[in-house]
Amino acid sequence: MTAAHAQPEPVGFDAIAGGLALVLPGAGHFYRGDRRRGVFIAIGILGLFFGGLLIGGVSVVDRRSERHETRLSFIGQAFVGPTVFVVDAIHQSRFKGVAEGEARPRHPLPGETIRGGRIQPAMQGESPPMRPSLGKVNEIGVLYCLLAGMLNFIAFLDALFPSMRAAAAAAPKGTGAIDAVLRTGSGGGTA
Amino acid sequence: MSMLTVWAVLAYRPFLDPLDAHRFWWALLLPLALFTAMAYKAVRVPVLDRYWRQVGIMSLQIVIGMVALGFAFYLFTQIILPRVLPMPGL
Repeated sequence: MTAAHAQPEPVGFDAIAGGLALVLPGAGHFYRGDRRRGVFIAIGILGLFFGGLLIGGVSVVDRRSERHETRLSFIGQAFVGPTVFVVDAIHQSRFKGVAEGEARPRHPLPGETIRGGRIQPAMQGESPPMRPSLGKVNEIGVLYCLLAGMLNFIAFLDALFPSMRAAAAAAPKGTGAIDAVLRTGSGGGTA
Repeated sequence: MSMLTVWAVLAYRPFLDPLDAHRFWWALLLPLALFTAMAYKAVRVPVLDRYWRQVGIMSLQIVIGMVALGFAFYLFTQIILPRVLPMPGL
């Protein structure tokens, strides 16, 4: 095997790669030297996440949504990493406000705007800072971002336990990676 | 003028406002299948030699699976259910 085609040495547990995978999708594999794989993971996961934002707007990432499904989906979306928390923080601070006589922050409606964190009547020709998505467009946007989080959880586990894929590749057809790890003890050597 | 109509005529700002895709929402499932297959196969395949072929196959499987599920639910709600539990007036 030449140096150009060398595969990263599989080890049982790589905490740094796991941590990097949680910070930025694909970064864990990139750190381990599996650069092409890291790039494909990043394109797939970030493509889904930013695709969801493009389709449904910023309202698809909302940990304080009035919709129960969107609030629950945020738990899954969170696995994309700090990007999600930054988007949510911008959403909560810039695009929601508290109206007079209401306790919960909400999005401004047409004819309203946000000034100093409070919902106020808009001036002539002034539009709300954003429009929340509704119906299927909202559902599909939430689904894109949720899938991105779930897939990054898989990528995180793969970066954290790199020997699992190597073991699956070395195992006889029809047996699982966990069987192979249990049988060989270490994960089966080269990929 | 309804709230939906007012919002639809306002200028579109990418990543802030939603796409006006209510009529072709189903087409958005195609990039979803592609990106999902890209991320999943990048983790799953042992060597990347046949990566794009695997991505193509999985994307197709997802799309066919969703179409089949949609057809199955259509059959159940529009044909089977009305026969099992007929609703007068419908």
